[in-house]
Amino acid sequence: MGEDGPTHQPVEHLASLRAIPNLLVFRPGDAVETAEHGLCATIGSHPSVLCLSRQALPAFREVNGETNLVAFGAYVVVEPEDGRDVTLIATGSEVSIAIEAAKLLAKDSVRAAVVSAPCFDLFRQQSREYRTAVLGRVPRIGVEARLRATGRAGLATAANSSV
Amino acid sequence: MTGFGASAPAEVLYREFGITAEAVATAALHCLVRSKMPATHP
Repeated sequence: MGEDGPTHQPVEHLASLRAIPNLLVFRPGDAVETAEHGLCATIGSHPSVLCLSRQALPAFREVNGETNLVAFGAYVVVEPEDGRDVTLIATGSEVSIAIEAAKLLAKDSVRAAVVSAPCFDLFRQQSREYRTAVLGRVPRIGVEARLRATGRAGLATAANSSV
Repeated sequence: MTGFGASAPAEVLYREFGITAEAVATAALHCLVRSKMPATHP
């Protein structure tokens, strides 16, 4: 997903892969997320697909802590100190774009949280409390380089949109 | 996106399809304005 050659324009791959039951679709956004994907306990009980971008990406997580955040399916990367006005939810190569967007919004005094969602399937398995804490109760913007086909239903409400 | 992609370096494609930090920030601002508007239907 992302840069590709003259014969491949796989804008539909994420949507079609996520439609397959019992298949864990991972879209890591940097080196740490890619490493954590390989340590997810659920791998082995289900087949998994790793969707990597061809272009080079900046590392948004420089420290691999004791907690495997990718195993939660989605987690907060940027949390404004004094609350949220909007939540930007991105996967893979778009996480770093969302982080830059949050910085732009801060200049307009808009408090934007950024959520990385490398695996929708694992996120759906988390508790309601955890999912609510990650997604927040303010409008959400989805950022992903793909067709607007599936995946929005679990993340968006009527007040939200996607890029 | 609603159609097929295109072939080009990533930075060209992301700009062409509007997947940029500026576009995300603009979408967020529009979304916030919309969500604060009073409902038009009871």
